[in-house]
Amino acid sequence: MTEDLRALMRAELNNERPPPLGDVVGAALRDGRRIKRRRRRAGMAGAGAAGLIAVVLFGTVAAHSEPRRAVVADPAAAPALPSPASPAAMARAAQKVSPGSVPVTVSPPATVAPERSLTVHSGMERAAGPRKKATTGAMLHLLTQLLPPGRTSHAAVSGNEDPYVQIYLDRGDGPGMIRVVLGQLPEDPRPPRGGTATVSVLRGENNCVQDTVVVSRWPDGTAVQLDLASCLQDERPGRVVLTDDEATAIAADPRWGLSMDADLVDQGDKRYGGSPVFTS
Amino acid sequence: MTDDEQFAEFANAHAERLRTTAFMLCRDWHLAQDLTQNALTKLFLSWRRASQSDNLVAYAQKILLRVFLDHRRRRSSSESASGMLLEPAYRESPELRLTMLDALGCLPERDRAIVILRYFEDYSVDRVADVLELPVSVVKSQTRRSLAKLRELLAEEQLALFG
Repeated sequence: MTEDLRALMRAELNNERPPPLGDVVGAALRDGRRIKRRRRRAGMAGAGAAGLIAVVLFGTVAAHSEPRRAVVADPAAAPALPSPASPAAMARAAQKVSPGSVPVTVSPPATVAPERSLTVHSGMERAAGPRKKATTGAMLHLLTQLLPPGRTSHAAVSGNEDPYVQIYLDRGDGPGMIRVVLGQLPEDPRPPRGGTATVSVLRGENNCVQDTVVVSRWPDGTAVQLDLASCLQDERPGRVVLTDDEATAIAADPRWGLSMDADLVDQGDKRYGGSPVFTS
Repeated sequence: MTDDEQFAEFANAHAERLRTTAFMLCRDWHLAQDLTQNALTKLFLSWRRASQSDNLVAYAQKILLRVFLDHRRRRSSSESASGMLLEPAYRESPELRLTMLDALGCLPERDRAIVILRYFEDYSVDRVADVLELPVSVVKSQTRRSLAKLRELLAEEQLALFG
């Protein structure tokens, strides 16, 4: 019976006219390699999200900030630091900063308020309207819209086209310096922006330019970092001019991103297009 | 030889056979090609483990069957009713006589897979049970039922072949 059944199946198969097999093996190899790459990236992103945030933001910020020692969540990034911290300082910093934190200044700070991390719902997935690549002019324009009332001055931008800006704010009791830098983690595939940012508030030490660092991170990898300085650019005394809550609200504003509202970009370029370059 | 080269060598040697099995399962050459490609992709992803298997062809067949069953599961809502083929008028008309492949298509997916593995691939009951992750007793009973159903569906002259 078995042989008869098999013979019947084969006889019918012989009457079939199958199309050419095609390159199924090549296609399977290509698909398989792509999936492997994606899995590797997903694994790396999952395991080292904190490290990547550190690398991305530190890479952007470090080049323009005061010479400072940085805390690196990913130890592998340490050799790349321009001013490596002493082992003791790095150890202190590692204890201080949680794995999910971003690069901040080294070590045990003269903490004014406790560090914290919170989730901020923006209530919107993404600002509506056409988008354009963010410019430093747009960043300054948006920043001035978000700052509390006060006199702004010393608007300046990074010298090497990084999305990194600076401004002074005087709320009546003296100026304070604020710097903002944007970054984005590599994601493949990139998830949607999402309507919720995770914001970390961190304290620095021995680096007046980053007295307080507020970082917001979005599901699509976008990160916004606000450095609140306790000194001015030339290291004259200054003051931290924003509260943690104010800085958090600014960093978590959904309009930040490597692409921004087109009108905002146009207005920002018009208003701040010729801003001077600041030096670290 | 690298893993990729080993995989390519195996896949090139067995892709046609896998596609034939896939065609027996789904009776659509284009779908069979897709199923084969998906199965080979999965095989590539697990190649390190697969290449240590005693019977690599059976391993690949197992993946193919899972890909097929998953595909059918996903499409189950759009499945056409096989009951139509059981209409007596259909069976009595010589020009509309069911072929073996048509009759196989009337079996539920899992039973079809059992028959194909048992009688086309010539697997033992134990191996079919292993590939489909079913108890041996289920494989035996479903085989009996499937053969009975095939007898019901096929024309007299064909029935004689495996009566």
